[in-house]
Amino acid sequence: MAHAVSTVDAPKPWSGGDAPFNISWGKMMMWFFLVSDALTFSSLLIYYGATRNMNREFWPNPDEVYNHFPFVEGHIPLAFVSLMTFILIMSSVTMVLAVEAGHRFDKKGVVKWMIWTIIGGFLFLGSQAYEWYHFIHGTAEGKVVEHGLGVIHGANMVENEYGPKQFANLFFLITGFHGSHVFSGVVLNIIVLIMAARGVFHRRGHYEMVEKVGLYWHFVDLVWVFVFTFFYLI
Amino acid sequence: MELYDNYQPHLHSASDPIPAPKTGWIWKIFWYLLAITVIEVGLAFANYEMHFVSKQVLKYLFIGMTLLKAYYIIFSYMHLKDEKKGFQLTLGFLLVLLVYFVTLMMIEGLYQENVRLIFPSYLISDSPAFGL
Repeated sequence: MAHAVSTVDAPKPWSGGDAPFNISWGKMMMWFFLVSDALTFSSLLIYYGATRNMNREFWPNPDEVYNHFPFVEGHIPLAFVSLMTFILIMSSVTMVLAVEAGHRFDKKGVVKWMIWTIIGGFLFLGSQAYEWYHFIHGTAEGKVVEHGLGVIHGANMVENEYGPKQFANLFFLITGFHGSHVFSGVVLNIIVLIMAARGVFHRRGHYEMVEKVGLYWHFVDLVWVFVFTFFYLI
Repeated sequence: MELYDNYQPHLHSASDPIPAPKTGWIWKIFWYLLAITVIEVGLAFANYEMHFVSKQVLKYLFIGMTLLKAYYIIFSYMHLKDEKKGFQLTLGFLLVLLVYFVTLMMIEGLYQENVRLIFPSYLISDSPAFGL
């Protein structure tokens, strides 16, 4: 009898109070948040695709819209966004290096790589400001509108010189939403940098918080990979 | 922290010596990501200058390369390949419906374009093309 009772009462991985996936509560919730955020970004990008399919003959060629580069006269398609992509991939690498240093309990390494990651984040935000500035101000020629309404320069939420109204609106919405994610990522990175530098994680005995903000930072990079393809390449 | 109390990250003590970094795999993945990006930009730039292949072909090529980059970032940099299979599937199943959603919305977009081409005055003031 005693034997039978013990088999019934034996704890199962799913009976509660256990971690069946061998992953801590905080990391798992970060993953679930990232999946829901991925769904948000997906729906925005899918709407972008549908709108583009609705207006194929009016849709501008991205190579002719985003062709500025700092300190360079004339038009170079793709160069600047490629640089932005490189900056974000690079800051992703420094983030993995920070996580790796955290696994080795190397406080100096974590602080060093977190600082590089934050610098990369600020560089990216500055690049995005430059990109928006040129998108909003547009070209000197602008676009002459029929019916004597004048010339449109650049873009706002009502009209733009490049193409359909939705082209500019979706650019503002999606790159802006991504930019705000980058900004909050930089803020989280700064908080974790300060905590790491003050030895909070050292006393705690593990650097898992670096892994959690690392997950968020890689997700931001991941979204940019998709934005880059759908806005600038295709 | 009662729940999951039996799960603890590997705890270190301050007196442990710091092992040497093992960063080879990180830089390997970095070079993969960089190479894919360079190929993408190179193809887009070359096609912009010379138009050697149709934009449709290039589009699917770019989407494929983007998914490859996403795979490297998620599985290596976000360490998803080190998690349990069940956890990978838990996250993955949530995204399966996106395949259906993408297909649906692309077809819907083309249908709306047809409606606009057949009935030019239909919904013109609400049309995204208005204001051109």
